[in-house]
Amino acid sequence: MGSRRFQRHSVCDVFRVNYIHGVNLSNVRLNQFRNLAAAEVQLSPKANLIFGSNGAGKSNLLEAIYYLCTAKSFRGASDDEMKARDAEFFRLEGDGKAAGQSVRIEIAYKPGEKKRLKINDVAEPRVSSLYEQFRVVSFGPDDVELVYGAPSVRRRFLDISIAQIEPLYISLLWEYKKTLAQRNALLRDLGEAYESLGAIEYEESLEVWDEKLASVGLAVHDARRRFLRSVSDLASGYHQSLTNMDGDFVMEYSISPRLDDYSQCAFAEKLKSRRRRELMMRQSMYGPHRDDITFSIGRSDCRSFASRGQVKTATLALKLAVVEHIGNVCGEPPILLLDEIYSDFDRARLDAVSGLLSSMSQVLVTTSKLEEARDLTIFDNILMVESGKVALHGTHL
Amino acid sequence: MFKSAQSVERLIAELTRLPGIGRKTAQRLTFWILKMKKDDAARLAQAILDVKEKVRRCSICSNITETEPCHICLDSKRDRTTVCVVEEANDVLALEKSGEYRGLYHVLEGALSPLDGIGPEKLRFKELVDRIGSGVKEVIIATNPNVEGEATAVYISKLMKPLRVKVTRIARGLPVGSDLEYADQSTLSKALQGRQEF
Ligand SMILES: [Zn+2]
Repeated sequence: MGSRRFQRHSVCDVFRVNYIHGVNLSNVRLNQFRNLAAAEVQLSPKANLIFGSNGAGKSNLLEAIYYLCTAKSFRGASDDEMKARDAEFFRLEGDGKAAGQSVRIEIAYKPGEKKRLKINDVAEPRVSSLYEQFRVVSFGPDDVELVYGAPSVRRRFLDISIAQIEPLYISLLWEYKKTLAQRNALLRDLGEAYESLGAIEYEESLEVWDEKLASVGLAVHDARRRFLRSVSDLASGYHQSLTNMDGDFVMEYSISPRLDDYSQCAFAEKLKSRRRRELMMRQSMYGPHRDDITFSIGRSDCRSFASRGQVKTATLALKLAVVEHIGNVCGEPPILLLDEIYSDFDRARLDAVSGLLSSMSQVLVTTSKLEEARDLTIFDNILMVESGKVALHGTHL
Repeated sequence: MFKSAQSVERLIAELTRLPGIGRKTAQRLTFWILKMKKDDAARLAQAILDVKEKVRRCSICSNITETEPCHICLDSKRDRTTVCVVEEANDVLALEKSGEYRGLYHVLEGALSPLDGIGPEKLRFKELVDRIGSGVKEVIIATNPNVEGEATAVYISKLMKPLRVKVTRIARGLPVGSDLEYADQSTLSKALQGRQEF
């Protein structure tokens, strides 16, 4: 960790590490997913280019691949939104290789029912097992929301990224959510009584939930802090390489609650000292559900001072950092999905990105204009998407 | 939908009210009962009535019993210095099957869950405190390893603090999200042996 801290990355030497395996999906089948009614797609384990006009369904194909790896949309869409209109259900299947093993994933969703997940033909009730298969990182037009959007967007980014590295993090989050719901229910009840009586009954039962929130909350903080510590140095390295300027890209974790010492005791004490406020608000006001990240370039807050272009570059640097971090921790880099990247960046930046693509594991890139795609020679599989249909265009142009 | 005779519909509806039984299963059970011999059906009905009429809760530990107090509280060979605290009476059944435990029980009749309106006043905590005076040296907390069970365990440990009794928590060897009821017997024996001081 220490030596890495001051290391500057040039874009090209980052992926020089030789990964033993390459994680990739070789065949993906879609059924009633958004506008893709029925499609079977063969993918190359290296660089895939997907082109088609706007609205043809390119991003939907990437979203489906992301869903096969995480059971979530990279756009934060709900399962119902992803189901084709008028369809009863959607269903996705994927075959590929992860950690040197063949893996088959099947996911089906029908409104009003639990998602159905099968891994290698065996029904799997836990989503966390899915996260142990294919890791994935996406970058697209919506990712500027990481800077401009609500804190919940940034927490979702943290949670999905960490879950891919530590699948047990999902159970931790789930435990936190349940604890939070219980504590909020109690604060609602006690808050009402507090308002009418001016005193708290059963304060000792609230203390129990304080302790639980603090102990689980601290574990969530720890995982998020560990992740951000590794990723923020990598991200500023990529930012440096992509921009060639010295304005340092810095990410700062703003933890809720702020404490001098992050111990369960201090956390619980904080809750106790803010008892009145929480009772008046009738909900938990402190904890990981209130965490946030702030981004700055050259000490200025990105959200207020950076241009949209600067924000795009910064978020790309962040995503590339996550790719490398996952590769470092898991031994193989994740599948990388780049949605409409060509229209957003200038030539210099795209050249830098192209340099990266050739040394990655599996990559899928979408574009609406073939002539925009640079360095077309790196792609060994080109797919065409037109009005909800996917066709193989060839292995060369 | 196919509508069957009214009494058949009524049985299906009653069975659907049981936990874990959907309409399909209820239909299957109903048609199975229809095919039963009349004596067998009568025995089933009588068994259901018997548990409602003869079975009550033990006044000491709140275990389900036909005697008062229950056979565990009555058994002079059991270790009266140890009390194992569980959420429900079926947890007693699971721990008894493991054959490992020789002490007494205390059934709370639930776990703390503000979402369900269950606060400390709804559980048998006061009765637990009252029992500690009579020679109890160790309280083993065997609430479920989920959020509600953990919170309940913390609450009990706070309650026991001024009473100078040893408090242990059954080891978290049980898979997260699983209830005692579903844990197999060897997991339970291991959990009991590996209990830790709270
Ligand atoms: Zn009894």
